[in-house]
Amino acid sequence: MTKLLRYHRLTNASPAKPITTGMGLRRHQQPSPLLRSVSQTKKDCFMRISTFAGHLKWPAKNLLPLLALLGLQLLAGTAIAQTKRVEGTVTDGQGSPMSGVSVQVKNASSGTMTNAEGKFGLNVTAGAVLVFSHTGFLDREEKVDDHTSFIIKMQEDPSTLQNIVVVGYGTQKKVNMSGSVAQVTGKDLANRPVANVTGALQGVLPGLTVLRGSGKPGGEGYDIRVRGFTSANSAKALVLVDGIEQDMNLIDPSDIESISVLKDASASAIYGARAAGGVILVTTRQGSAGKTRITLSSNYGINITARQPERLNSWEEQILIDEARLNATGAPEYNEEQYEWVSNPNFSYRPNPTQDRWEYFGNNNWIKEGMDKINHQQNHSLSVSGGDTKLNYLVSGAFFMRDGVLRYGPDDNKRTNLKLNVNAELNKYVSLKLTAGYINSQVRENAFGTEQIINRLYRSRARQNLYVPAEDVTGQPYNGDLQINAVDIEKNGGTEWRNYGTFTGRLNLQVKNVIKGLTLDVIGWRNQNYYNMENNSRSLYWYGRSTNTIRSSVNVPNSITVTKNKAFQNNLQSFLTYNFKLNQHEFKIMQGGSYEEYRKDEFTASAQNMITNDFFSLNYGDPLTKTSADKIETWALASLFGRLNYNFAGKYLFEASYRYDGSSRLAPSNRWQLFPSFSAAWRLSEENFFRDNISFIPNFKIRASWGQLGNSSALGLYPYIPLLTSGLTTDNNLVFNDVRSQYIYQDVLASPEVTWETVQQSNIGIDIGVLQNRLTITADYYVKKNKDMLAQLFVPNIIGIKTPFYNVGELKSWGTELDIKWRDRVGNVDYRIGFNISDNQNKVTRYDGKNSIGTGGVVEILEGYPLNTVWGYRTGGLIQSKTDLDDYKSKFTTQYFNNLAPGDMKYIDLNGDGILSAGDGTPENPGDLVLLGTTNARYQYGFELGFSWKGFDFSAFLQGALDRKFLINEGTLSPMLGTADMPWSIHMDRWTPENPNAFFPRMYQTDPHNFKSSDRWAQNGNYLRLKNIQLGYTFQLKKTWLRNLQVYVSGQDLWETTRVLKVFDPEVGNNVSATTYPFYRTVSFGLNAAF
Amino acid sequence: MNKINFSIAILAAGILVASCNKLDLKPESTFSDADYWNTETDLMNATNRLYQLLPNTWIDNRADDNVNQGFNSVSNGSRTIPNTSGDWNDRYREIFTANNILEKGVKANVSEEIRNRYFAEARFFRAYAYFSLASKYGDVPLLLKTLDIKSPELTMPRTARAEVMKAIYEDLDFAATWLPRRDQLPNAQWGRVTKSAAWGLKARAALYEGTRRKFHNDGDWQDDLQKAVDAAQMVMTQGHTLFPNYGELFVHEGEGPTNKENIFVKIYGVDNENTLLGHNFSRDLENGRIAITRNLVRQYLYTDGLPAFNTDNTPVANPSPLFVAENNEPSYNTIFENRDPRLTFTVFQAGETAYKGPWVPTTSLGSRSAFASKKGFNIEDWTINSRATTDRILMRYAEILLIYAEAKYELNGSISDADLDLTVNALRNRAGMPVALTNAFATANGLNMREEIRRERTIELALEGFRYDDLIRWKTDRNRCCRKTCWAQNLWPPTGRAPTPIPYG
Repeated sequence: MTKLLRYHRLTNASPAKPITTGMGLRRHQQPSPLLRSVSQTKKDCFMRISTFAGHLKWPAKNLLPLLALLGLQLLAGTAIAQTKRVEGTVTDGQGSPMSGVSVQVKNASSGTMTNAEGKFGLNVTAGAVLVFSHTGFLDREEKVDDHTSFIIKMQEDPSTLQNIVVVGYGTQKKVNMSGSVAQVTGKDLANRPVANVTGALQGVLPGLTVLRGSGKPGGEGYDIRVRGFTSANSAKALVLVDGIEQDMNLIDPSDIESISVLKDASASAIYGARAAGGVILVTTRQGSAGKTRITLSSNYGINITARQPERLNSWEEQILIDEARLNATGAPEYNEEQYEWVSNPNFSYRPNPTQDRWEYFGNNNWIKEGMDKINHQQNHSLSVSGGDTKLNYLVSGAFFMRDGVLRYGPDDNKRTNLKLNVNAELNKYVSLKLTAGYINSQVRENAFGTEQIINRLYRSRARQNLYVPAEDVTGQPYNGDLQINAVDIEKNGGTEWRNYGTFTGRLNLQVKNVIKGLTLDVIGWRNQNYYNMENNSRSLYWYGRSTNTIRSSVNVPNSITVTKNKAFQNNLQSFLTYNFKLNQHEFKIMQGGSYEEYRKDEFTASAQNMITNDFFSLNYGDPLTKTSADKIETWALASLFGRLNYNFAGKYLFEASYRYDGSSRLAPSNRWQLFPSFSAAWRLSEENFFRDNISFIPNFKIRASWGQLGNSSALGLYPYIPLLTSGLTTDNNLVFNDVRSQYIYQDVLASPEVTWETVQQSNIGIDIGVLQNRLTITADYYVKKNKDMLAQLFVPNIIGIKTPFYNVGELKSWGTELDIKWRDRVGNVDYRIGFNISDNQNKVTRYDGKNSIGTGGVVEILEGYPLNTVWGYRTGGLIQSKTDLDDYKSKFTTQYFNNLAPGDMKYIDLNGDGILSAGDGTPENPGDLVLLGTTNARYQYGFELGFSWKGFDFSAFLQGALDRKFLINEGTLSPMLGTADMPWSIHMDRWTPENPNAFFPRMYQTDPHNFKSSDRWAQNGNYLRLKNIQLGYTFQLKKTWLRNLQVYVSGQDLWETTRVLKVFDPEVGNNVSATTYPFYRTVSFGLNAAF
Repeated sequence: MNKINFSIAILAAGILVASCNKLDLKPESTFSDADYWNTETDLMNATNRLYQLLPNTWIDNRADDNVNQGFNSVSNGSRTIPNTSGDWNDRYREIFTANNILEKGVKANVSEEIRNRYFAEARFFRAYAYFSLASKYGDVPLLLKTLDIKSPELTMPRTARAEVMKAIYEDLDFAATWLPRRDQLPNAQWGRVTKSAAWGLKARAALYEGTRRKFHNDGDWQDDLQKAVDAAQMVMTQGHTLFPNYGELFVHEGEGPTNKENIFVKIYGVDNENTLLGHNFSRDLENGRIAITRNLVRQYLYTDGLPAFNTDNTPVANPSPLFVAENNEPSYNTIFENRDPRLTFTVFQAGETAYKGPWVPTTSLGSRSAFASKKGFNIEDWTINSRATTDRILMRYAEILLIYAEAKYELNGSISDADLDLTVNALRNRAGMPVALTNAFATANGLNMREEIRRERTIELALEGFRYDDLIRWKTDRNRCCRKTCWAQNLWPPTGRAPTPIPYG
């Protein structure tokens, strides 16, 4: 033992020193990399590598004596004492046999697991103590004495306090955690009819914000933010699925075992430079010993489009058009006769008397013609698992598909998942864990772009008939006289499909208990993926009365675009974990290293002018229009990491961890950085004074942590190297001699000194369990500080080139989280209630960039303010009369709009200078602009209620956001800003002398003066939504072949309350427009069966 | 057992050690600047960026000759200082690009002659950008080298315009020395600048600066005007001729090196089947973005060589007998009768096949002035949005002739009939205008020679983007009110003009 201790002292002392001293010195000595010659760089690089190799050598160096030690131990360790055979059965509370229960001899390395019948057999010495343990159950110890058979009833852990939480490079008992980690199990997310796991997570965990941007199949735009903003730049959470970096949106929701969100620095610093955005560890279901099990879960859902604009009849539309024209130009578009025509159902077209075209007076509801209100989705998954303790497996497969709102043509997403997991105990010491997966996701949409089609369906003229008149001779049945015909495009505009497939494989070789408590893991994984996109754009022309006149056209010329890429990400890592206990001192030490590399190779080609509109291949395009480009992206990351956990008598917990990362993204002189963290916790409830006096609180823990994390998402791949762009890769062509010609330029300056964003986070929290842990409370307060936030450097534009990202900002982000759960049983009803809320705020404390609010709207970064602030004017209602108008105008020396009239907005000249203005565009002198809020909600909350009675179980989950403001795109909010864009039914509530209390101002075409960013138009983004409600019934089964059968009905997003304009969902992003794909409500029916 | 453990440990250590030399990744599909700047091709491709950046818009609604759908903010005096402006940023981007070539091109392993050819192109474009800045903003920071993010010059004050002009002249002298002659330029290189372009730009800049100084009482102007005369004369030695047909000059017929009137041209794509690079000029005409005003129409002479209005828009005492009083015309087309033929090449008559069919005068969205611009309209260009491919002339020989005439006149206070024949009358002759301008004709009819030279410039170069700068340098902008309009609208409120303030950024 002393030898071992010395070893540990060695290992724990050594990592820090060479890192800080060696690297620190080096950094100061480096001259500016710009000045260095190439040979110098090479030399430096070599020195750096050898320094790094030095760091790497120590674990290797120390491994050798360690392994020698292992050998000795092996020779000496064979048993000498007298043994006997004991056998037994383990059951759960209801008496059903439990398989996979670990049966260990206390303080020895021998042990076994129960088989499918719950039985075990083991050779032990007479004085031994057996420890039975299983996740979710309390450990149980039994003395062997002279017993030879046991019947053990395991007791369920009432509070899940004993639960094992997945953390970085290992697991930990929840009671012993000193960092902030939130975990949900697959069960909590079950039966939710969502497209993917990310959607199911919305509102479930405090501090985890899930945003979505659209209802588009495969393009839902889910975004996860852990504890609000970490940076003004992208700071994506690092998502590891079974240890492999992967897109969480592609995982089959029914395959989830658990999801851990590492929230504070102490929990996530072990992931160093990529952890600042939070780390999410997804564990999928794994094989376990037992009888062969087959589980099936199947779910079919109906999606009903929610909250979208409604169209007006053509004659109502014409009223608004004419009001808008009259107000703007002094003359309406239609005279009385034409107005009569458009409202006459029996007169819907005539030949135009002067031009080669038809004139239409129909009434076409484009939304009805081109969109379906009801669509479908389904998700089926099947898994088979079995094997014994030595070798077990799980195979699962899933299929998901969802249709979208476009009535014709492709608008869907299909996904197939396959996974294999094999666990093998090769011998007493070595085990092997293999996970292999394949996912394929295909999205199909119209080549013209789904959003553009939706935009036209929402805003094309209603008097434009869908079809041309029967006597038309052009051969084009669809009418595209006034505007392009969105329904024709849906059917005939061509297809774009995108296919993403990913193969993942991970091999984990584990050597354990050669020395008791010591484990070596060697892990290699690869994520190999491919992407194919093909866009086949068919040309469509719409004619006048003869084909001599082309009224409009799209996708001209027809074209094909193909993008293919192959990418892989490899990771090799190994780490040692050592657990040992000295009296009441318990230690857990982990030390490892990893190397990760990524490479993506992409090829894009396109061609135009196919020989026909019905066959698309690069082989048939016009050779002059062919283009091709390749793109290779690479990065690599080398890391050392380690962690120490110390626990005294279960009362005092301490944890320290570090990661030392080197990245290919940074110049050699700035390449390496250390990310440390520390945390401690005190379990008051373990103290005698507490236990004796406050016995109704069995668990009370205070936690505190501090650490530093890195964010490299915003760095780019080679920011320190000045790069040249080829004009042939841009859309801006240069022509000489009728040929597309090359040109080469530097688009942006390099930034040799750029480094990671370093985010420092402190956290304090408490965990409380009251009344036998029926009530659990977790609360946290944290402060994050991004010390080197990257932002585009702002210098006067005379520099003549784009400036790079530099570490010029500082962002502070802070907040609290509260999670309360109550769980109890009354009679034979089990019920639970849960509530969580998180409050997050941020402030840009330093920003050396351009500190301007412009002329209002949403400002991303502004020193002294939160990110994404909304600036706008104050308004005082609408001008009601001539007197009102004169009075309002008299307050201004300069009119902001020449043609003001009753029905227009009254913006308030706050600073009284007689001009409506944005001052000099700075927050110090914002003119008449005021801060209206921020586009990110300050509060996110979730409320859960569930009960089960006999076979029934019911749950309801509400989720919401508070204190959010956002803007609607001006061109969408303002009817007829472009004369081709039609108003909606909401716009009927516009100002007229007869409707003085209207919501919308008077109609006015082509000028947005009434829709400036202001308190009237900034949307109050608060909402409360019934995210999920479900009722299930589990049959009581006697059949042996069918172990479990549950049927359920589940509803997603069925109801909400909000003040957001009713045509948009409250969850939409800022600047939402008419191109936004509508969200939907889902009712689904499903069954879960186990055989 | 031991072996397994041992090999696993070795594997673990091996992984980590092997990884260390893999952090120096180089971009594989993007050139690094350090590997560039070696060959003539490198120099040419870097210089090509300047041709790609060359501004490609001709809609200039600032002056009194045309109007967009709405009023231009400079035109109606409501312009405020913008936060940033492309007029500023884009020019400095061109200047950076040129400076970068001049600094890094030194590395290239090529003959001095080749290097200087591309340096000459870079300096031409640098001068082109600075002239654009100086004519818009007056004093501007003069940067003749690239900056990095820590350069103190980033916050430098504006450089006096005289110094900027001096730099422009120097750049153009260098360019004229090293650029090829027009007739030495291979057809495959058509579009690249030549000696003519360098001298032509020098003449343009010098005329601007000379007349601006003269009429704004800004000191020594003779020197600049002499430079304008000399540079124009140099262009006149380069074998340029006028294209025979004024109407076809601005469409596909006038494209390419066979049209020896072309001096500096922005090249657009092949045709609308194969655009490569397209513009939308013909559609913009249809949409009334460059609607000619009554004020411009008034400038055109009658076929007897006499005007009805002065260039400041006031009626002349004795108008041409062919003039029909405004608002009294029997028909819209009366306006076009007995006029300089260039008017009907520039404006559509009623009933003439225009954009979508016969032109019907209207003041709706199509044309706010009821006049429909024709110059440069091409039905083939119009057919598909943004796929117009007519090359756009940025400098042509006619302008050089007009520069020569004006500079000569302003320098000496008079101009000989020989020089008039060489310039003004050559243009009238090409257009089919039957009456020549001579000193005798002017005297006999009480015409002011300066007015007539300016008038000639205005109508010959109408809608080509010169009018606003002309008004500024002549200092006549304050008088240009055309309140009395028949078919046009009031376009020029009498607000004072100052140089455009520079953007905050």
